Amino acid sequence: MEPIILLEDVWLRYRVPEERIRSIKEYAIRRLKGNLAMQQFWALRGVNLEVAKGEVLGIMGRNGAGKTTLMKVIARVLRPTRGRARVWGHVAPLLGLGAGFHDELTGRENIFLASAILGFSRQDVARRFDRIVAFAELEEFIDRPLRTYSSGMRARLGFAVATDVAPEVLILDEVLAVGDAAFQEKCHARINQFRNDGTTVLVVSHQASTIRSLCSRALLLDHGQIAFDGPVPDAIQRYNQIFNAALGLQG
Amino acid sequence: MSSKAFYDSATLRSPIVDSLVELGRFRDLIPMLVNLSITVRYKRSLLGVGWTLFNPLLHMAVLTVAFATLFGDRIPRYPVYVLTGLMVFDFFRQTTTFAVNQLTWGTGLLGRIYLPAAVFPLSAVGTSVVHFGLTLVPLLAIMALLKNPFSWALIFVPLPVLLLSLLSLGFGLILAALAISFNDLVNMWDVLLHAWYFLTPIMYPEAIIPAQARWFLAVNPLHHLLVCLRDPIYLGKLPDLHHVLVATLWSVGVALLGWWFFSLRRFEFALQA
Repeated sequence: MEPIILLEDVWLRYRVPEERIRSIKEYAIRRLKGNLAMQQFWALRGVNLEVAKGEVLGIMGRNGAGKTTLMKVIARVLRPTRGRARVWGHVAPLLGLGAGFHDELTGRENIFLASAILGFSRQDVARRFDRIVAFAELEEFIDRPLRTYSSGMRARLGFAVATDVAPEVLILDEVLAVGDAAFQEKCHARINQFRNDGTTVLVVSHQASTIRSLCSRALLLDHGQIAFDGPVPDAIQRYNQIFNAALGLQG
Repeated sequence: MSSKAFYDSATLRSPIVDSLVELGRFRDLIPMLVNLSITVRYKRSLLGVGWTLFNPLLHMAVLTVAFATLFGDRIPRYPVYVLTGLMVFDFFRQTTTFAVNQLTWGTGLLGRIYLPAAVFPLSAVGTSVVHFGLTLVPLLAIMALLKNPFSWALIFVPLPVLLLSLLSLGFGLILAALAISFNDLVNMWDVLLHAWYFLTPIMYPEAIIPAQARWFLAVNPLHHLLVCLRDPIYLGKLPDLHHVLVATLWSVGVALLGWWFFSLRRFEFALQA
């Protein structure tokens, strides 16, 4: 099968925020004291992953297990500290929904700006403009400044911009709560359409029911490593085990 | 597997080339960010873009009142002399500090979606070029008012502006890349700029600099750039070749150095978000 995402022994290191040196003064003082060793934290530790075109993959794990970091590596936001990540296609990260929106600009200007941030050319967006506005249901408001929009309207605009062109890979981080129930229905219809057309979907969720209803395969991340990769029911069972073990430790 | 990956974290291209190639896909973003910074800055102000024209003019007026009697004999049409100096220095100051602000704002985006980080410092340069273009209007008006000669040498002006853009970009790239990690750098840069402002013949004639301080004039890229701009505008003649050469060497050198340094660090920014 043709892979669309291939991660080979991916490691990713963060510097722990408390230990981050934010000024030259501090840097100089620490250097003099010989106290420059920084604490580091490996968010991903040797992840190997192959995802085939058209697969719908669930990603589970407790908070801090590395789910979002893994998605950011695939979306190219973070570069692996070690190892290699390859993606054969355009990734639409819904973690960046509404990224680059600016309050002082009108809805129209924001569509162009946010699209440019996603790497689309102006000409391309001009051609698709009416379709984006129609999907967001914002025809009457499109020339008003964004600061007059409700949060629901913003979210609708963000979703419409990010998903107007079918991506090869779509990342859904947590539950998609965009606008009212009717609009959510529309979002789900669009995502289903992508799936049927062969888009690879990565679903990040804590909820077993979400994973069960959408995915054909699931990953379980634990402390930056893949603890399980396989059929959904088994993944959910393992997830519950890890979760209960953690509860047991606390109790 | 045989086809080339759309994204490969282990690309073999050098970072300098890689970040240039990536920029190509996002080229429409830079004019938009320039437009955004200009729109947002003036959206809720009475004079709007008028501030861009007003600010250096006010500065020029203050300096003229203060120093025209002092240097007026040696420098005829003092306002033209001062304004050209201010235009060069303000371009440099604005671009470098704005590059830091833009990248700081940009890290919020870089932590969520992929885009080439260099668009932020580049948009700072674009904004300064627009401001420079706008300030040409009052400059030409003052030149006409004071009967400053208009010479064919004016067609030379775009070259120093291009070199000034490169120099400011280079400094802006280095500064922004460092300021993301060290946030007191901006304060130090402010102090440095202040000293630089007084050490460059912006408001005073070159001749008053004592012999033992002349070496600084020789290595000061802003001085050479200023001569390249001031000679065609104020004196109506082409600058000496050695000024052009030194300015070019500095500008291209710093731009390359800045691009290289920024490219090496470009993956760090998302981690800092």
